Amino acid sequence: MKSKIINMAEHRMDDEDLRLHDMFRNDPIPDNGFSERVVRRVRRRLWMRRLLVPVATAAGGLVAVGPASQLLSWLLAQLGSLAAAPALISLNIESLAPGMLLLASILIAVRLIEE
Amino acid sequence: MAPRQAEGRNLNATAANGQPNELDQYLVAKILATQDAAAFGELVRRHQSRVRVFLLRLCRNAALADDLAQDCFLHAWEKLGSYRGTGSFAGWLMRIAWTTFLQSKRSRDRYRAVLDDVAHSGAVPEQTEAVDEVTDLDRLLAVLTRDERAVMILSYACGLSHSEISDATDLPVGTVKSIIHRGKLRIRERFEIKDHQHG
Repeated sequence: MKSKIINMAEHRMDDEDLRLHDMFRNDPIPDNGFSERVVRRVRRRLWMRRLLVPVATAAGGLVAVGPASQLLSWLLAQLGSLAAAPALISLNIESLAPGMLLLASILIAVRLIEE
Repeated sequence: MAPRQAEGRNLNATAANGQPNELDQYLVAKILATQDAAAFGELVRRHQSRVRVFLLRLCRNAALADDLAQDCFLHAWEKLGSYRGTGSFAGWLMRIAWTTFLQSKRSRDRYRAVLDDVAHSGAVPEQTEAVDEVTDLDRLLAVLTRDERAVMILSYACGLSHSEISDATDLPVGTVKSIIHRGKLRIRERFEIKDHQHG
């Protein structure tokens, strides 16, 4: 009820309002293919996104396959030494850090692409 | 855009027969659920005239207004998931149009500043932006500030309610009302001065 009253007050126009409405009055702009152009751009974007994720994943995979395999073999070696002599474990931070950085950057890139 | 955000929204096809905003909300829900570009085309068709009139009145250049309107709808497509359905879709869309205009104006101002610097150094002749024919309404709007102009256009040319203008410009409804009142006063003052000058 309250909103109805507000709307009535809002739509009650004085002479000046009517004059302004007259001045601002314009014929609706015809579409003339505008919406088609927008939809075409939207479809192009959809396709780009559908292509971008697999292509970026493949490219990232190609770049990461070398370091990732090295990281894996290092991890396996560490696991092997852990099984053989637990007291001799020493984390080699220098060789671990690049792998972790690579992993983090891949995760961030995937997130950005998804967004 | 996340289709799952459409969950919980009313996908009932009967909404298509209801109020304009209900049809908008039905179309939004359909787009979010299925990424349906054709449904988005229907939304564009329904609102293109209002958005283009708004941008045309603001930038007074038909080609630029059309480019900005296209950008506005593309932003709307990207951000559709953020439309909560609480206010009207028109208000939400006009907010994107307003933001698109402001961003474009900022970058054009920066570009013009660079051009001015170069022009002052004598490297290139000064360039001016192509503007369509200046109408009485443009002269009238010229006495208003940028925000006042936007609010007046949204109210009188686009037919938005005060609450929709509030959504579009991120201003409280009371401020919108006072801007419209102030805008009317300024226009009246200007017209009275003009009438007086011309006898």
